Amino acid sequence: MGEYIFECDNVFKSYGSTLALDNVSFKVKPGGVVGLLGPNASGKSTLIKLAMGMLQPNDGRLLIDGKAPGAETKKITAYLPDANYLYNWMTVEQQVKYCADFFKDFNMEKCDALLNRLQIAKKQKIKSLSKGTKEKLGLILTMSRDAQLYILDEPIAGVDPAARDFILDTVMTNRAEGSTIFLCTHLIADIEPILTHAIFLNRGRIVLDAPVAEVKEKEGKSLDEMFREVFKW
Amino acid sequence: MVMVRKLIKHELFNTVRIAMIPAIVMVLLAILARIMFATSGTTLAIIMVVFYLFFMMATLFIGFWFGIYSFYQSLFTSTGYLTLSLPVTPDQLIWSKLLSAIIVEFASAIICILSACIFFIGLPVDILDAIGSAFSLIGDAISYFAAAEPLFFVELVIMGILFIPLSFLVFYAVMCIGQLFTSKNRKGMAIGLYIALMFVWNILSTTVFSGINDAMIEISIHLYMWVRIVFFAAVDVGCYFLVRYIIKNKVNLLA
Repeated sequence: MGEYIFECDNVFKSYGSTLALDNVSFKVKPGGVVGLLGPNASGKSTLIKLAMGMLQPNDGRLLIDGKAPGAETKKITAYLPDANYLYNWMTVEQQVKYCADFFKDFNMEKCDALLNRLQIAKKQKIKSLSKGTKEKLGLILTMSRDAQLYILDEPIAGVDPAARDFILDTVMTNRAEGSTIFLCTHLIADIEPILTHAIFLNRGRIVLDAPVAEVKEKEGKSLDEMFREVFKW
Repeated sequence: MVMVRKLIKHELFNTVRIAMIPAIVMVLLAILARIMFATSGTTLAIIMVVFYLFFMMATLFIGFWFGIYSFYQSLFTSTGYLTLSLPVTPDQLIWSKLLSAIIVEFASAIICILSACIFFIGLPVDILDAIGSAFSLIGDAISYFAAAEPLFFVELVIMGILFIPLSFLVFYAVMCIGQLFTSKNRKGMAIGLYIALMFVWNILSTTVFSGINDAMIEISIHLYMWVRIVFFAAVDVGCYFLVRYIIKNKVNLLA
């Protein structure tokens, strides 16, 4: 593993005349839980898609473990999108085997344990699962990987408080040792207890990039209070 | 290669689970029709044959259509998040989709031919001999043609080889362009674009190209064939690199 697991150097990304990311620069060291925080349309999803190689920056560079996003970086990056990415026609077992087939770091024991904990039967068709259960299955498949970097896009949006606790507990207890978690959300209060580093993104620009402890010490405020202040309408 | 094999394996499984349904019905109808020809009256058997032919068309069409639909579904809908996070390159994705679609289409054609052979089962020997002679004559005609005009025969084969992937790549390209639009009717955009392209192509073919084609044939049939081969190859390569560029740089996944 290199010195930085995730680097952004002067990244610009626009969609036509709309500037989604404006000179974004930051470096994330391995380990820890990084919160990419910002309101809707701040550029979080764009940044993640760049990290996953689904888009290319107009300018600047983005590196995952020292390499440009591509097939090699996807081997070490586990991604949970803000959408149901599962194949509805598959059974749970087929979907699990699909993921295990492509990702060498897929941990089948971990997956089975999580499925048992949630009492998700492997023979069930994914289309017969409830929305919440599909989301949990998506999370299970992501956290079953022993990846170096986990990128989770809005993992707790639109779920009840009990489910939020389950999701955050699953994330923290199933991550591979030494891995980095990159959590994107606008629900600060719930994730603040687990964050070690915070990056605030507003209208495509970085407005804060600091360890959480430093922010609390320097500003004397919680991250949630800082967020409300920075992103006040 | 390992990743391409895995992608093809999963792609074939996804396509065959759909494409085999009309194929199975087609084979069953062929068996039923053959039995009816042998036992019941010909009227019922002919009705079975009509349904059989319908399902033969369905087998060929669904195999082709699903090869295109699967490309769109796995790349440009929400499952695109999974596909595009796999540790594979855009080239591997495109090749696996294309090869799987071609394999399924070939398999569909072979199953159709084999199902037609069901009608020959139990026929009197003299009729089977006559059918065998007819096929033998066709084979002899092809061999004679290949021997008499070997270059033209080779040109036809090359054109056929280039046309097979082209029929999928053009659809892949219009779908890639269609998904660039943020509106929800992206499939409609792609279909509209395809229809517009075919309309323009037909107009050009009947007005501009027909005169040029006639002039080329007058000079040499081989000139005409090689111009077409180069054209097909250019469309294949152009569509491939367009698809590759869009998958690598411009995928517009809507959450």
